[in-house]
Amino acid sequence: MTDRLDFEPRLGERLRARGALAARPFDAAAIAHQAIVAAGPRRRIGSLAWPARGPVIASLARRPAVAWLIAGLLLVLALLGTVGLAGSPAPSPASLPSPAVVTPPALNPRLTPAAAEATVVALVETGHVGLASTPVVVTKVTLVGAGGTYPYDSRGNGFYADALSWAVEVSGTLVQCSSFCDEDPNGGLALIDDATGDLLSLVYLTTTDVEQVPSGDFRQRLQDNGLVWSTIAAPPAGIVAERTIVQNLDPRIPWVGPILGRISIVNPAATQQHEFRFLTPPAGSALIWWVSVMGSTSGQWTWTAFDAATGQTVLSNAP
Amino acid sequence: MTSLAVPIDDNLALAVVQAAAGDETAFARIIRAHHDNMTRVCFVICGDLDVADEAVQAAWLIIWHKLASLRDPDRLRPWLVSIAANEARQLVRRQRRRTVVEISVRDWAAPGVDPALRVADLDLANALARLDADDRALLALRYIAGFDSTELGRAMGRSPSGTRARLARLLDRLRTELSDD
Repeated sequence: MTDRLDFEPRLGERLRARGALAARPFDAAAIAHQAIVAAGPRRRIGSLAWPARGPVIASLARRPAVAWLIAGLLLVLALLGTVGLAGSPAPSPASLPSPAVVTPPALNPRLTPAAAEATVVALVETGHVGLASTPVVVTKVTLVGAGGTYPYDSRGNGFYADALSWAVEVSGTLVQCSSFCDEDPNGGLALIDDATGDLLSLVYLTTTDVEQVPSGDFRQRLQDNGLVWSTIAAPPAGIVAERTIVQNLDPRIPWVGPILGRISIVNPAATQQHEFRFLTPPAGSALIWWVSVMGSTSGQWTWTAFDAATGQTVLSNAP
Repeated sequence: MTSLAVPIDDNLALAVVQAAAGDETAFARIIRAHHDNMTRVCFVICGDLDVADEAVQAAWLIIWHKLASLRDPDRLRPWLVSIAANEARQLVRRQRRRTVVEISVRDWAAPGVDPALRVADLDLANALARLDADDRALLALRYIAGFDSTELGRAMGRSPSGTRARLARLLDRLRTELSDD
């Protein structure tokens, strides 16, 4: 056993010595050329692919007065449609069940489970833990006592709570953008300080973590609602294009955002496979696609889950 | 903070601009300055030279695509290393789904490696093998790339305080596992 203060610098030295084993001569020009050739034309990840203007729209755009007139008429029609529909029963898509709540009786939290859930939802909605590109759903809220742990996989990884805290499980795809964007299709776990409501820690889950998250009881609730949680490997041969998936859905959605987290590029040469999740009906034959849509005027993400076989809306957060 | 394993040429702002505009030679300049450090970080995460190479290659492809989105050229080094580390973590996770990831020790057999170092480091290799990819990434980014807790938090998707706490627990665990003599 070594002294705590002495150990860290010595560990650093040993790690750097190990890292130095990887130091080998390399040809920067060849690496650059290889990367550029393999990358193909540049594309901004996270940007929206807006449909190309048709010739009619393009010609209207060159005549502002006509364009404004048509826009005004469309607005009036939209308002009339809204008023007309206000009194009629709108189709109500199914909603996901509420999250499981675990609160040990001996603990006296300041926050309620609903407040802990709302804190995390607010963090998601304000982009503090990433942009939600598929439905982000709180699936479990657990009160963890000071000194307690909250495991999230079978390998012993988990949160350690220094003080009374809330562990909040979230499913869905979160896209983190700082200098670059990175997607986490398996949701995450947030640890919220009960005293302050602050986010103490957040972990984005790997696919293997999904062994236990969402929790078994939430999966059971899904099952009770006619849905089954499943993980399906991406096709091993070739690239699955977004448009392939949403082609049949285009009449319903005028603007289709990138389906981050649902479809991944597969590189057969490197035998890399991403995995992505679906909710399937119990029969398991028809897939349900989560489709994220950027509002044309609001700039907000909304999402809709379509039954791939029937095209029917299954779930949606659209107003 | 300890010194970095490799002196880094941070005076690459012009190369970043040129490469973002499509200049292959400028991109090669960036690679020349940072490839080695990224490979070292990836090697500690992956434990395998081939996988580390694959991760860094994949990282350069991503970097070429995203170079224009780099907002702050002063943050080039952590940005590059974060992308490489992320690719390494992803590769290890994919491997883990297929098989148990083994930390290779064959690289110690390379000529020129001090035999004493070889022996002393075997237990480090074993200890690393018992960690998951995220923990190895945390160690590599902290002690090889020299990230501070804010940069670590950004790279690992956690808060700086959460990252510090995780690192402290990790050090405690390693301290009990490693015979540091």
